Amino acid sequence: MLNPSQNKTLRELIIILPIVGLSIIFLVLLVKDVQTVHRTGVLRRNIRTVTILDVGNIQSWMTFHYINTIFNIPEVYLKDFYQIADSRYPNLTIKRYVKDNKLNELEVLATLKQSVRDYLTKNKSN
Amino acid sequence: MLQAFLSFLLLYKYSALFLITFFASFAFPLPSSAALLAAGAFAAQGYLDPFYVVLVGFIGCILGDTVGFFVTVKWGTWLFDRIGLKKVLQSKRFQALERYFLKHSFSAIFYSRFFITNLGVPVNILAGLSKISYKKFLFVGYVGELIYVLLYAGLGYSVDGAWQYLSSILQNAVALLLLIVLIALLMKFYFSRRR
Repeated sequence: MLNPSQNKTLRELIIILPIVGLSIIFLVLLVKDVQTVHRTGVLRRNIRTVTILDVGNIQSWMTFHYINTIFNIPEVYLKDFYQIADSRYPNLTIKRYVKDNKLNELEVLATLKQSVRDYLTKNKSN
Repeated sequence: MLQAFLSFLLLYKYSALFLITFFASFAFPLPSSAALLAAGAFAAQGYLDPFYVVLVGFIGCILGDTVGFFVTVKWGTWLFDRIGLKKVLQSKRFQALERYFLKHSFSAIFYSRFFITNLGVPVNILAGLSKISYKKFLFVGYVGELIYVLLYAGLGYSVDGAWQYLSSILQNAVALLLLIVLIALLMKFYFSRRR
């Protein structure tokens, strides 16, 4: 049985330990993030102009409209490529398109990245 | 979860930014900082207009703060009663917290807008329950929110494609800062009681 003083110390420990634990977790996460940024050098690069290298950053939460805008692709290019009949295009996310058509997300993302790369390469050489 | 908000932002642009910043400032745990960083980056890529990002983000934040503050002033005590937290409001600890808050209300409101952003909603609730002068709350809050929107949207704009890395860093840094402040307050409280 704990005396009142020990009981009080225990209560204080119960409050302070999770806070210290969480602080350590967030510190580790922060250090890891900073290391990642330092390793990849993303904050040092001038990435104002989207280049062919950034095609790898295309993700499923993006809309076709966003991809068309930032890569300067005509609206019909991806529509024709995927033969999209959905009236919401280009205001349609890749995730929604994949879900509605019961497709494989990774495959669609890979072909999409490739088609954007092809367009940019073709356009660059013209 | 964040991805759903990003899609929402891309689909509905300024309306989505307004709704996210409004509800995040009002009371809901929504990723307002990440949305502002992303909107800033989208503006740098030419997808959104930087002027409207700042304007809409600012309006969303200040309206959320204002509505949250007045709702707490008017119905805060009643709401706490209804959810069974009446005793909390009447406790000596809460009254001590209220006194401490009133003494430092300026810094608490100002810094919780853009520095330790996780404290924004709790500070709004405390301000409403303490019934501090609405002129003071709104003035300090609006200045703080302007800094917050300019800071986050500006950072997103300047780092462009790297905003997701920055968002993760800021999220962890703010959480760490909040915990450090909490530890400092607990230690201050502990040592003042021992004296």
